[in-house]
Amino acid sequence: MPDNMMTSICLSSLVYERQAIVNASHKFSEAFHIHIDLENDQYKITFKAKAKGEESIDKLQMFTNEVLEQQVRLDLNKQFGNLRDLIYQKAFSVVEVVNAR
Amino acid sequence: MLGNMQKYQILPFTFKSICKDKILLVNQVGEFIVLNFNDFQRFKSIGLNCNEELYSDLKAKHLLADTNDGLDLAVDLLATKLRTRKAFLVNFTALHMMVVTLRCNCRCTYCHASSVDIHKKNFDMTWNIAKNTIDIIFQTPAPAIKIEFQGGEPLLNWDIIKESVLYAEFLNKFINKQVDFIICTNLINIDKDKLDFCKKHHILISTSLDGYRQHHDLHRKTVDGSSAYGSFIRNLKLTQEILGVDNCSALLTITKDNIKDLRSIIDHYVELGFKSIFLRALNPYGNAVINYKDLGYTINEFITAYKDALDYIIQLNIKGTNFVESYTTLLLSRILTPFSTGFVDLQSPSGAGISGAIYYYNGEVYPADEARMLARMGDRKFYIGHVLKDKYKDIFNGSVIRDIVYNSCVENMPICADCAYQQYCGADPIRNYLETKDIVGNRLCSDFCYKNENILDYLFKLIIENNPDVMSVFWSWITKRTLEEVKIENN
Repeated sequence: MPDNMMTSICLSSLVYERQAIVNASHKFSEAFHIHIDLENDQYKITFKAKAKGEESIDKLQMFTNEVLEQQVRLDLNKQFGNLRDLIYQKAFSVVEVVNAR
Repeated sequence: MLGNMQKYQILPFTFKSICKDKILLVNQVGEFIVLNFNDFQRFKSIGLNCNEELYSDLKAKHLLADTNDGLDLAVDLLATKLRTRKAFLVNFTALHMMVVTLRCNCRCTYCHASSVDIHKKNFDMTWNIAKNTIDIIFQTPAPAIKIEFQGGEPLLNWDIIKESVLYAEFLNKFINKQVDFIICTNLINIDKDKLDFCKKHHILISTSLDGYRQHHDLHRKTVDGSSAYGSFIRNLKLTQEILGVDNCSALLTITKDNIKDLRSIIDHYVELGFKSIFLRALNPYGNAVINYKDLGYTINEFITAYKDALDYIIQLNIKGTNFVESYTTLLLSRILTPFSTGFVDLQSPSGAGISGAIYYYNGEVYPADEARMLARMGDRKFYIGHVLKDKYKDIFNGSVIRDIVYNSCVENMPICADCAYQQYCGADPIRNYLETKDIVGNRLCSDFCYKNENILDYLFKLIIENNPDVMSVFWSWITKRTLEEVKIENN
């Protein structure tokens, strides 16, 4: 990716949640300056590489897969997130010691 | 939440792609399973049948529960296991490090402790400070404590070590904790009288060895110009004779001058009777920062060297030499057992203050060794109190400790919260602060994170390969038994 060149990726907001886009973008923030916008049911994610070179293009190609993985995590969390909280709550609750005698 | 038709409930887990087409799933208490991509898809879309083997495996690993009557039981079991895994929180605070002097008889190029001239006795801990430190230490609720004497070179303030041990033993007649003592020393000033005292009071010795003479003397410069290695070898022999080989262990500092020689250094450790080695990367504190250009290496160089050294140690064990890599053993214990492992540098919440605390020569208290090193470099952010001015509760229940705990739970830290290795890893808020000026830190540019992820990737590769010889070595390390004993049990 040449210096100062910006690339945008558009993803449907009907398929992906804002949180999945943000989480994935965060993982790429070391290599890119990232801007996220929402236009007509589409997230427009704009990337500007912090460094020159082909490496940035390779990294960017992994972005959509990362968004997908983040969406899977969010979907799973909807299934078991409340259980995770419940397990922590029980694990750290005060235990009543019963005297065996 | 559960539909009428749903066959099972997925229990909380994190996951990552590992090896080829494999997905590693780790539940909330560190139990794991490896699935192929299709099975993962079927599992997460509630497509498994309760009569297939995979269903039973996932149920046994607490990754799913029957929706009819299994959910409450699974939640209770996971909560109990999580409580066991976090048991280190109950043992608040187990490790207490006393910096009895900053004076040192060496000028090591990588010295973390920023030691001072051997004659500057005003950098010695006084008896008043030592006594108050021990009074504070004994107020800790932990039933088992370790008091570790550090420096500088702690043996230069031997009288304070001796008096501290005697006073701690006296106090313990009324308090009844399990108390262990350790002296971290370069061995140069050890002698028969000191070792006899150590033997009588069950004091362990933790020393340092960087390899053969050419490695050890390269960065460990004595102030009198003599060979640090020569003194080390002479006094190690005496130490092992009096205390026994099992009561003296050594730490290796890896620099760019010995990173390529780890195999021969491991041989040397074995020759000298050591039973273990801890392969640790150079930490960015003290002189190690100032001299980094001459000492440092990339984190990828470290990971490559670690893997090669680990393979070598595994082969040594298979060929009959019982020798342990300590960091690997810690990680394997977390992966393969349900137990709590209290390693200060790798806990969630961080072990700083909770599992360990350090008492500086002048009475200042810090939550970790690195925090006092940071203070020595001019930043007192992690100062938590003073043994002469503050009460135990003010020191250990103050805003600094609370801030560390609140911001060092990997379960809710960015990146860590989704990481499949969350249950095996931990947070290092002081190092985060040093690198980013933020105790939460940034995993994207963290060598700490990169190193641990790569090491865990490698360990999981070995576990998935499931070579019986390698796994027997791993179990011998975890269970502290010989390979022969493990093999006999397996047969």
